[in-house]
Parts: sequence; C-alpha cells; structure tokens
Amino acid sequence: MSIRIAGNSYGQQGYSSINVNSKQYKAAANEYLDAVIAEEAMMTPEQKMMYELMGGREAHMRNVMSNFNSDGDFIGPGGVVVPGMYHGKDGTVDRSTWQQIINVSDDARQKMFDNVKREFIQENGISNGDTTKRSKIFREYQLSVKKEERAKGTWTLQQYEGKYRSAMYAAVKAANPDWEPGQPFDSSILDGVTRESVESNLVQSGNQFVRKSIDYSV
Amino acid sequence: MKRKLSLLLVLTLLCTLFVTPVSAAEAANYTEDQAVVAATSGSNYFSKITPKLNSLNGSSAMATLSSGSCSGNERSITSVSVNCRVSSGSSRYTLYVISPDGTTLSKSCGTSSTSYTFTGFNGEDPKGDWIIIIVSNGVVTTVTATLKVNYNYSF
Repeated sequence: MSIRIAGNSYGQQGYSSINVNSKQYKAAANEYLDAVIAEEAMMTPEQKMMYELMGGREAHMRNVMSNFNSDGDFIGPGGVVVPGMYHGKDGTVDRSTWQQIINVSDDARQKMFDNVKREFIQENGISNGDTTKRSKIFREYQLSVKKEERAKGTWTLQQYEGKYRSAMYAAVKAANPDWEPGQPFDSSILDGVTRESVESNLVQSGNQFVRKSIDYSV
Repeated sequence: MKRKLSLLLVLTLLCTLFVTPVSAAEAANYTEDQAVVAATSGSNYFSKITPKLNSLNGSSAMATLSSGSCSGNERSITSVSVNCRVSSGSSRYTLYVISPDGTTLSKSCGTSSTSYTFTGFNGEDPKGDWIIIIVSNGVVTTVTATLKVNYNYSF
C-alpha cells in the first residue's frame, strides 16, 4: 500500500530506517497506521508541508514505534507501561479476563502489607494518593512474574491491599472507638495485625476476597 | 374471669414485644466493627486537569495526575471519564490512560472536544498517580484533559 504526499512516495517498503518485519513495527502499524493514513489523506497543503518538514510518515512511525518494545508489547513513552498491562482500546477486551484471583507469592503480598502498614501509620489512617508508593509495589510485582500473570496478579494483590487496610482501621477503631482517620494513634496497636492474621480471615468470593468474620485481637 | 384472660393476653404481648427480639448468638456476632462498616460506606469522586499536552508527528505527550486523598479503606472505581478539550487545527489522536495499578487502556479520538468514558478500570482502587498520554495521528494535536474518577468506598 502506498500513497503520494507532496511528491514523496510512502509505504511499508519505502522506509529507509525502519525494519517493517520487526515485531515493534508491526505492533505500531497495527495500532496507528490506518489512522495515520486517514489523517494524511485529510491534510491541507500547509499541513502536508509541515508534515514533510518533520520527516513525514517515516518519522511519524519511528516516533510511535518508541511506544513498543522489541516483542511488540505496548510500553508507552519511556517504558511507563509494564508489558502485559495494556489491554488495548477500552471495551474491546472484557475486564473479567484479567480481573481474576490467582496465586500471588508470599513475598509480594508481604511487600504490599508492609507498604499499607507504613502508609497507614505515616498518614494516620488517611489514604493519601499524593504520597502513596503503591504503584511502585505493583510495578515491582509485575516485573517479577511472567507477562501472562501480571494483570491478574495485580488485581489479586489489590484485593489483598484493601483487606489489609481495613484490618488496620478496625484494630485502631477497636482500641479507640472515637478515633477518626487523620487523628494520631498508638502505632503499637497494629502489632497484632499481621498479614497472616488478616489473610486467615479471608475467603474468595468470585473475583474478590471477603472476610469470614470481623474479630481482631488487639 | 374475663379480666384475668385480658391481663394474661396483655402480658403475653408485652413479652413478645420486649423480651425476645435478638438471640444471644446474634447479639454476640454483631460487633462494633460491623456497625462501623454499615455506617461508613458511600461514593465519592475526584477530578484533575492536565496541563496543555502537545503531540507532534506521533511523539507522545504525557501528564501525571494524583488522586489526592481518597475516602474509605476499600474502594472500587465505578466510572472513569476523560474530557478532552482539543485546540483548533489539531489532528485526530489516540488517548491512553494508565491507572495507579498500571492498567492501561486507550481510545481513538477525533478533533472535536469530547468526553470519553472508560469502563475497563471499574473495580480498581483509584488511589495514586494516573497518567494521561496523547499520541497525534497527524502533524500536531493539542489537548487539555480533565480526568474524573467516580468510586464507591467502605471502611
């Protein structure tokens, strides 16, 4: 396929610096090429001139290719997306395919528990999105497992995360029923809340965890 | 005799009303924690605006937006929308949204200012940094995006 813009010939075979057989190019072409060709066809003469000055389609494709790795996985600018976490155009893949409970290692769960506890104490029970390191915990986990497990494992880890936080809240509230998030509390109250004690009280229900009961020893 | 029967009936009714509303087992299971859970759940949202994002010839333009403080301990996103204000003369573009969990979804977008709704984030915890990326399909696209995340929460 080729089209002619401002006197230059374009097409997959016309690139001088792109390997069109690479997975990176194929993934980028699959994501963008139709839209780029459609946009080229609608350009005004001034826009076409500007486009050519910026390197035309070859430069355009080189730019969008930087959003993919050599395996053809979407990684975004600077690798901000972990391979396996991009689910394409919203709605094309049902989220139930990745929002599933799977086995997550003790190590990953412990790291999440420790982070929840550290932030709960640091922020006096408030969920502060400005200071949280939860995205870092998720990313570390994602990079530690196979690509196919990343999205499901992240969903599972997030389910544990909420239960850890609820257990800590319940423990502080049980020690001081008048306590509200944001008020200081004695952090030793949380000594009795361990990952194991929280998890032993959970049972899977569909793609979530629910508590068997709500008794905490303080 | 009638008086005695009436008195007996009244006493029976009073016993039914005031003596046996909750069994001992039920009372023991109803803890303060459950009262807290029942009393403090609800819904909330946050809304944040990106600076002007400029994508030239397929290069990516990116902005990070924090959720700020979120309500509750356990949260579940119910909807995510991104309102894109597109500058005139812009080319069509692809919009990417990355949640704090790392989940990434996209939309193909036109040249008019539009609000795009994402359903693939539903169920996630919204707390943390969200990333908005635009990639122009043509020469240049300039967009200012407003991210709005609705969620349910409970303590």
